[in-house]
Amino acid sequence: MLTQRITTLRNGSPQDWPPSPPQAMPFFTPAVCRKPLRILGYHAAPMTHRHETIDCQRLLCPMPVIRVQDRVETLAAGDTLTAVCTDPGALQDIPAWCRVNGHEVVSTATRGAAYVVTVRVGAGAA
Amino acid sequence: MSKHPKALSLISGGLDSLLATKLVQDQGVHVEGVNFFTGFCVEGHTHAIRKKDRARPKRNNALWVAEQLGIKLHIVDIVDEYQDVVFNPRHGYGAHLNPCLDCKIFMVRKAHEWIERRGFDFVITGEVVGQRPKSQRKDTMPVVQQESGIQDRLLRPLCARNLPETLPERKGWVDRSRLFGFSGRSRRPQMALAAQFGFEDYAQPAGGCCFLTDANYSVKLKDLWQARGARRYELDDIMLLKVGRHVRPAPHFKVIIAREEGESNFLAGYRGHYPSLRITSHGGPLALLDGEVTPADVELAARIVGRYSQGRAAPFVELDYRARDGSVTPLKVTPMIADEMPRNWLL
Repeated sequence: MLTQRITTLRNGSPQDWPPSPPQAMPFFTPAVCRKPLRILGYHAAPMTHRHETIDCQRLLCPMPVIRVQDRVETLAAGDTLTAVCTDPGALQDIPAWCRVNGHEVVSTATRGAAYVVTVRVGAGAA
Repeated sequence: MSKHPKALSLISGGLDSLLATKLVQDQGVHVEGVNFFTGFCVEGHTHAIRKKDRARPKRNNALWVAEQLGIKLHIVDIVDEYQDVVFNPRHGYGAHLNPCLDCKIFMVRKAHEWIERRGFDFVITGEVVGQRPKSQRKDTMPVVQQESGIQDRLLRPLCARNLPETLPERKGWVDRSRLFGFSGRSRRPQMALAAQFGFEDYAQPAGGCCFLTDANYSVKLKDLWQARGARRYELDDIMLLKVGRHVRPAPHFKVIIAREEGESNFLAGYRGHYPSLRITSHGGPLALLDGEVTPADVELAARIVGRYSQGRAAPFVELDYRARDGSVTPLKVTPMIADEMPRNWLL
């Protein structure tokens, strides 16, 4: 039970035992680190990921997708980006763009007249 | 095969580029897609704006094609650079303001630059000899290759067997015998091939995928250039040409009047950029004023907007005039009667 609890705390999943090299090394990883570090043979992911928001209001598709694509190119894997749009097409197009390019849609929501889509940059990002 | 070849495919979202890409992909070539956004692309814009169409499922066809093929898609904004193609087409326009051959040359040139930067080997298009009267003819096929600078790194899998051998064929990256020799305007061969691959529900836009092939749109674009005294536009200009009624009562200004609630909401997003009029006494549309207007112009515009409101038969309608700086002035005018407005004001 304790083993399962520890594993769950670390990875969010009880399926991964015995442990593989740690994914995060908070003691060695500066908060501002942008690229994963290799320390003592371990891959250390940044402790915090960047989150950015872009304003895509008034833009019609595919412009919101292009804005998301261009901003994602400046981010690292694991970073998240929120796009605030007014074209409802963004609710279909941004997720479709994520699917074909290997990114993850974290959430989609409607807030008043705005459509808000948050994506997490995938590992295969350029 | 000495290397794993990589190709970039021009994805419009239509059937031909879908099939052309599939034919090359099935030969073991790594393919990624590129979709160029000119600002004139027909991609469900008006569907997104108009309220009655909002419930319809919308999709970006280029993304849909990429998903069917399982390839990455890069969408490239060429709105600014494309102006030169629209204004100065070396090979002229088609029936309207469509510079189709120059457009194809431009896109292939951009694709060529892209593959050179990223170390890809060749470019794929869905062109078919004789498919389009302006850009896809036997005599224009080599023009695209030469003027874009791509030469024999351009493969057209649907009609390759009608054309001279290209680099990917000579190098053995692609087997020519597994490509096709389609020609002419018939769509039957493509539809049969789509059925063979199991593709259904693909886009078949009437008149192509570009607003520049649309007669009405071209009239409004010409009017914009004439009014500006110069051939130039911003993205907002060409977006607004897709929305509402455009009424030009004088050379120096026009009125853009929403046709329904969805368009009113869309135009409301531009109120910080254009003076606007909104009917307050009756149900009615939002309107934008494009140009430098005097108080007399505003009154004339208000009467025109009144004509399209539910108060068209009333002796007066009341409106709010909102200037660019956000200041609001109430107005009370007599709506213009139907015959009072010259027909040629409506673009």
